[in-house]
Amino acid sequence: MWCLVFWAPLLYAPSVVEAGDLAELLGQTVARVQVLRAGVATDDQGILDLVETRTGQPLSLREVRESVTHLFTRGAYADVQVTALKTDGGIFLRYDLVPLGATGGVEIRGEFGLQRDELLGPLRRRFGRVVRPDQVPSAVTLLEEVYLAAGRFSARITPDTDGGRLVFDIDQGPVARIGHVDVRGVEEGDPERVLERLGVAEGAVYDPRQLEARLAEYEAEIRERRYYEARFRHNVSPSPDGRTVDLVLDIQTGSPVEIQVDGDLTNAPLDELVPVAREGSIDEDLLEDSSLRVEMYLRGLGYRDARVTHRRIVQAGLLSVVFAVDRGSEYRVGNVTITGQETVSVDDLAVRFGVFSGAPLVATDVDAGVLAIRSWYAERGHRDVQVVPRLAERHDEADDAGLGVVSVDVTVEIAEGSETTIGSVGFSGNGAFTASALAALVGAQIGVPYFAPRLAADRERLRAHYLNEGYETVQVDVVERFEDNGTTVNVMFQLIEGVQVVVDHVLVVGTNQVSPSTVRSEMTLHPGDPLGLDEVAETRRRLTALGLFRRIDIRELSHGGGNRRDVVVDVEEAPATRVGYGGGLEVNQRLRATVGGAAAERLELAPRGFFEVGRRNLWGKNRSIDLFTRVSVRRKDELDADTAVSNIGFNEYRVLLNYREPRAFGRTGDLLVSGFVEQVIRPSFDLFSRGVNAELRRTIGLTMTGSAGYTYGQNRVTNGQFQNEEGPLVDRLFPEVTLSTFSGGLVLDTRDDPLEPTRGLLVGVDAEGAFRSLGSEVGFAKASAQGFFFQALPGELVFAVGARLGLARGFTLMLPTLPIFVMTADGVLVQQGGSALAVIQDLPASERFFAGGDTTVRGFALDRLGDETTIDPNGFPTGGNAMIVMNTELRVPVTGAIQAVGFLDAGNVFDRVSNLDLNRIRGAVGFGVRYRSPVGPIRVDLGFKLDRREFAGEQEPLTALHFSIGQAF
Amino acid sequence: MARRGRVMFVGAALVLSLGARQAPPTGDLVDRVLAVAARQIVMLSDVRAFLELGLVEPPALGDPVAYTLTTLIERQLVLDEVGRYVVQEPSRGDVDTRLGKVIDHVGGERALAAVLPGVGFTVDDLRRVLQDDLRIERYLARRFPGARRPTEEELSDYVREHPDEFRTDGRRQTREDVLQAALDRLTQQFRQESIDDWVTSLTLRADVFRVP
Repeated sequence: MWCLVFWAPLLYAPSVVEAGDLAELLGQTVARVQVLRAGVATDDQGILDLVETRTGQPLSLREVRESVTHLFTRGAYADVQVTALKTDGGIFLRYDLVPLGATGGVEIRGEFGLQRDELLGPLRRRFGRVVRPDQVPSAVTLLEEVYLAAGRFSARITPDTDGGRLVFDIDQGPVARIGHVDVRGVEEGDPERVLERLGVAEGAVYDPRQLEARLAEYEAEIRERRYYEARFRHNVSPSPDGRTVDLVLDIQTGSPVEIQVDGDLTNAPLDELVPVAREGSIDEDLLEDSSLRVEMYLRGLGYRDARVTHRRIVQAGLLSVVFAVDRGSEYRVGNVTITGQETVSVDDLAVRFGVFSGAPLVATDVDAGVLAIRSWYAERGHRDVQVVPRLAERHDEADDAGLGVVSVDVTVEIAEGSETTIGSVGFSGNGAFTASALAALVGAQIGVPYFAPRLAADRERLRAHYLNEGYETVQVDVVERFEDNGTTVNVMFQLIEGVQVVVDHVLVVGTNQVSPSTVRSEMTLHPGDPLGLDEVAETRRRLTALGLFRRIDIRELSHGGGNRRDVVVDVEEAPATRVGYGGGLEVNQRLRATVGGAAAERLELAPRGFFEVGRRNLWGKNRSIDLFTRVSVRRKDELDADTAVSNIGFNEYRVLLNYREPRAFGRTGDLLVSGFVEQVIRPSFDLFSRGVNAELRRTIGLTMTGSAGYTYGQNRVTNGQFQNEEGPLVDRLFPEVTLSTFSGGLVLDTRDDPLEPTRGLLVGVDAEGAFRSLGSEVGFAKASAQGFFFQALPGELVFAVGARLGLARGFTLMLPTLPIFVMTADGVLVQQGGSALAVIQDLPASERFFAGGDTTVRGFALDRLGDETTIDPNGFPTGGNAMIVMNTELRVPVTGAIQAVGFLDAGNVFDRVSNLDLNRIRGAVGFGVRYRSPVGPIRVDLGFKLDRREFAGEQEPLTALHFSIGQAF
Repeated sequence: MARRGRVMFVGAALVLSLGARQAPPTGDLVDRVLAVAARQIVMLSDVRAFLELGLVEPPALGDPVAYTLTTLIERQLVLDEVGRYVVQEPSRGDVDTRLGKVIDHVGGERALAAVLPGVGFTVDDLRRVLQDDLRIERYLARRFPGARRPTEEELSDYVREHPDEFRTDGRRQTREDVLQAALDRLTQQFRQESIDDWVTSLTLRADVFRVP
């Protein structure tokens, strides 16, 4: 019945033209083409472009069919009807598009009570973006189920339409209250306690979700007390009017459980082998797995006959799960002998076998060793190799002495068989690609040892190649013909290519704010191209990378069984405005001036918070603007001529406004324009910066990014701890400096995960230059290079190594010194200085290199790495023109979420590039712990200096402690 | 019941309101979408084409459009299934033979050339349809190579219920000929029933949308 409403427009269907009448219309000139959407003429060019019948052209039914196909394929219409009216000037052709009700536009009206998302979410998950007319009854049922789950037993849901949109008019009905309550499964006297614990009372509002949550919480609490069979449920019987429910609380606690071991299981990690407490369950599957786990554990120790069973015993209200352990004798590997090998040495095979004399005898290790040898031979063309292990027990002295240890001699007997090589490689059935083109894709070559899995991989490679070229039904078979007593095999790849499917039209559906051209510009599928799997995946990846959509669906539709398909890109836009906020606590070891002015390291805590708001997809072109603000509470030392005052307040802050223009300058790259204001409390000075920056960033391939940029800004250094005569002259002459800087960089990133890489490479080079001729007050050139390598090792270990090098040079600047006047004995001022020139070659403090801290050399506090040339007499770092940092780290998994790390760091900061000397490198070793949190690894590192030095009369602390988020590099 | 009444009322109101807006000019319906089956659109022009070209044989009674639409939906579902497997492509000669039958049906090549534009097909489109028909037949031959053997009782029943099928020139055939003919027909019938059951199961589990 509902369909009657929805399809009402169709009841006015025009008369169906008969074939004969149609023939009269065909071929006549089309005078006018009109497209109506929901009865209203549309000028949407995206829709009009899909119509292939043109004014002034003869009417062709084929073009009509193509047009209908394209329009319907958009997925936004329930029907597309084409009518033709004969007029004096020719044929008036009209396309009537009947829109579907889209869930994105579903209206919820009336007294619906719940949050809209609670109703629209399930609809979207069940039906996707579109609820078709035939799905409306199911949608009503689904909404009714939502209300039942919310305790509304008489909700009324009426579907309706409004302007072609689907509307649900909802009356949630009265709230249900709890009538009679029956508590089952608990002892007499306890029901009241259960009701109180659950907050249930007769006459109270029945909220099933809240009640289920409380029951689950209560059940978990009981299970923690070893009642692993506890099961708390509830059932209701609603009254006919839905206003009251009779409630049954089924509280089954079961008996408390204890785990017992009958037998010898000394030193075994019982909690891990029998994870009953961790799982909070004694499910039979879990107990069976536990028995098996204990058995495997014992067999891994050489008890190859170990047997473990379990049983349940209920006694005095206690449920005991008893694991009966029969270890049997302990077996150890005696002599290992390998015989029958001809083409390889015994030593090589022994390493591959991996079972050594004296080790516990483990059957799975022997099997794995045999398999490794067999695979090794098979890969070298020995397809008939036989590898047979023989085990022979011998009773030696230890056994005779009653130690219960049985030695087993292991003999591996090998029959290598003949080697088979590929004699010829051929292809049949190929029409789209030449044999030589296909041969380049496969690893099978003449003379190469025969290995069946390699041919299987070749077959898959060929298949993938064809699929990527649109041959969706391609079949590839490998026919092997053995000759010469099996020493030669002729390989034939037999292909049935099928039909190549090509893209007809690309249709973009679901965009509202985002321009369809933005979507099209990211697509690698174009009309006329083969419809390949890789291209579909790449298109999906690119669209996902835009960050504009919460759902992307790429589907294909065809008509008439031809080889052309329309590709429909159906997207659901994400909200355009993004707001984020958060807080945290920064903990690190920092330098602070003591009363005498000397530097001392202290552990400091700095609470911080951030707020960001962004608007993406501006003007529908994926432009975005973001404002990021961050503030930290940190102590600031206000240095004065006489006294030093410390203020705690919001002394560190950062305000950053970013604008991103994708594909700027003729798609050269993404343009980022930023404005920033920032204040940072560094160990040696406070830095206030402000400025603007423009950067053009371009991705080259999948792993490389290049960038070029320009920054104009001012840096003001205050509270400089080294602003004395020993400090760099530039800091005294330019406490506030204007910089005009050009920069460029290139980054290659093949890491598998930027937050926690386990393999891959990160290499980057950067260069920047500031020039006085372009507005900079000081000039300099700066370059840095960095490389990091990550390698996964067996046992989920990760080895990470990295190196960083920074080099800088200030352009010479000569300035006249200020005149100095001295009063003579007779009271006359006489100029004594000012004619000399001050020569500046240093970089401003904000641009110099510093090292030490949680991401560089971890035995040192922040910025504290250096020696006498870069640490001032008070112990504060002055920074330098060159820097080297090297890191090596081994990351070891401990449990699922915990990772332990051992590291060796080294590096130093040098005042001049010419003074860069590897002999002056300072090192640190240490260890740390990582906790895998949802925001990335939370890191604690403790570093130890390998050589401690004395500054300001004090020896450097031995250790530095760091807390942070993310890996060190 | 109250809900149904309300829906009917809303429906009627909507019909009237939309009708008032959309009535003139109507024109003649040239084409429209009738169904979507296995991601393929079935259009009114498809139905017309299959009827005009004699690619379906609707029963004498009943709605030929509804019958053809059902046939085309089922055909599409079967084709989708055929596409999952590799079926030997029919030769050009096989397709030519089928094309010849179509030409005979419409009354010659010139008639075919006149009919095709009227149904929105080209010769290549028609050849593709015929090629797909042959692929379906090959697939069915492989998937349903035979059927169970009828029992003696079933054979007897068939012979008794269809006496006219076993007469030649008014004379009853020999017992051996009768039994062999009955066996062939029943086996063929059982095979067709298996195919029909399979197509029905495809219809039940497939995503078919008939536009009302």
